[in-house]
Amino acid sequence: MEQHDVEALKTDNHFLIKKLYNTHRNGFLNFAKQYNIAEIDGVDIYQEAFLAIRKHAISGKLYTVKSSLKTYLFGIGKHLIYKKLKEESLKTTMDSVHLKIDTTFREIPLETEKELTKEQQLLHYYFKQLGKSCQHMLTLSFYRGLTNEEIATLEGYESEAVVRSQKSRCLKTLKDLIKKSPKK
Amino acid sequence: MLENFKRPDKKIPKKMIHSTLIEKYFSGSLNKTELLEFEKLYKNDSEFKKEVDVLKDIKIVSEKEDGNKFRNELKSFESEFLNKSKVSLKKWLNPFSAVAAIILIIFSIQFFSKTEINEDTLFTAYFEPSKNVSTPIVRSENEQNVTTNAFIIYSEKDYEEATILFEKAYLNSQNSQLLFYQGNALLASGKTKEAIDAFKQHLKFSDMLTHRSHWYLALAYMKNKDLESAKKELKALINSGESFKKNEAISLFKTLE
Repeated sequence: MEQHDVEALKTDNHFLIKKLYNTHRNGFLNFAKQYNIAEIDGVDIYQEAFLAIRKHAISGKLYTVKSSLKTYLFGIGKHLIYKKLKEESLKTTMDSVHLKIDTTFREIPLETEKELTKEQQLLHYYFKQLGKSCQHMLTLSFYRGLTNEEIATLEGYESEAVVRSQKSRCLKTLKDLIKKSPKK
Repeated sequence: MLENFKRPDKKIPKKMIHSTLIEKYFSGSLNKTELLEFEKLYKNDSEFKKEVDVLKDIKIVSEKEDGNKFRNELKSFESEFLNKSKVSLKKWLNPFSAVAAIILIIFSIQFFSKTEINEDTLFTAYFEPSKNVSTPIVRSENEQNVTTNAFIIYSEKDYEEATILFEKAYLNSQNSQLLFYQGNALLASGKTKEAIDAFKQHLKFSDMLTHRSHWYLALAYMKNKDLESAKKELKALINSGESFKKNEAISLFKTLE
């Protein structure tokens, strides 16, 4: 896959991501139309596919993918289209339709996203109460899995120690918010 | 590092070893020995397990939130896309607009290379107020000096208030780095001219943030549509040996050219 596109997705390059979004948007909607997907649903599916491809970029999965970004994106989209049609109980008719019309994009299956547990929902609520910089810091540390040193370099902090201290302050704030939360 | 886990040095606090193991666990960089140590602790040390479980949950919710933010970004791309399509459609549907557009095209051909730049869009794309890389904020009831307050307000993105506090803090301490943050706060609150003055003043000093001021000064000039000065500042940053925003500076310089 085009490495600069993968990097753009991984590093949240707003400009390039927007460019990618605009480049493939109409093509994808036409592709979705073949499955009788209305434009409004097509846009939702396109955005979900974009979200998924970004997740794959972040997890490093795309580095080994040989196909182009477009093929992969449409493959995910195809999976989501099938899912939607299945949900709408149109699977039987859909099977006969899709077999005829499309062989270009191989379906890329996605893992089903787990629902948050009650505790996680509460944590999510308080996580959103944190300042943007703390949310960003914790996201980089735990979701993105960056070390303190990597964060210092990426975000221009003076040292690893500053990152460590900011991170521990953010965690403390989050834990305090949870502690102060009204008990059920 | 490996040695630490084989024969823990008594001088290294247990907490520090744990936090290093946890950091490596989340960055996926534990080696076999460290992984065994991590698993042993996770199994036998209830405090350690509790801490890791909380962080695992933070990982999940931060991923969720990150996804939500990206979803919103995609929605904004979509609205922008639709608006653009509507605008161009409207333009061509209206014959007067069509004539105007033709005239505009004719006139713009001679200026094409120069007028393609949209300073505001570029500014929005590149500008993000600098993080506090100088003073870790420690909220303490006893020690609430102006500088700490300024950084707290700044981290809360109340840039108007932060501007005033940084100015005070600078007058009190004469710490030149504060001019850099004052400039950032001014720029973030839309006071571009004042921001230019603050960055220019900061550039008279030599501290660890001096070169960074070139970047923000360039953005401020660009916002003011003074592209020549912006390019000059970008060049100064690129040639300064500072790695901060170097790639962005090169790319923006090329765009402005």
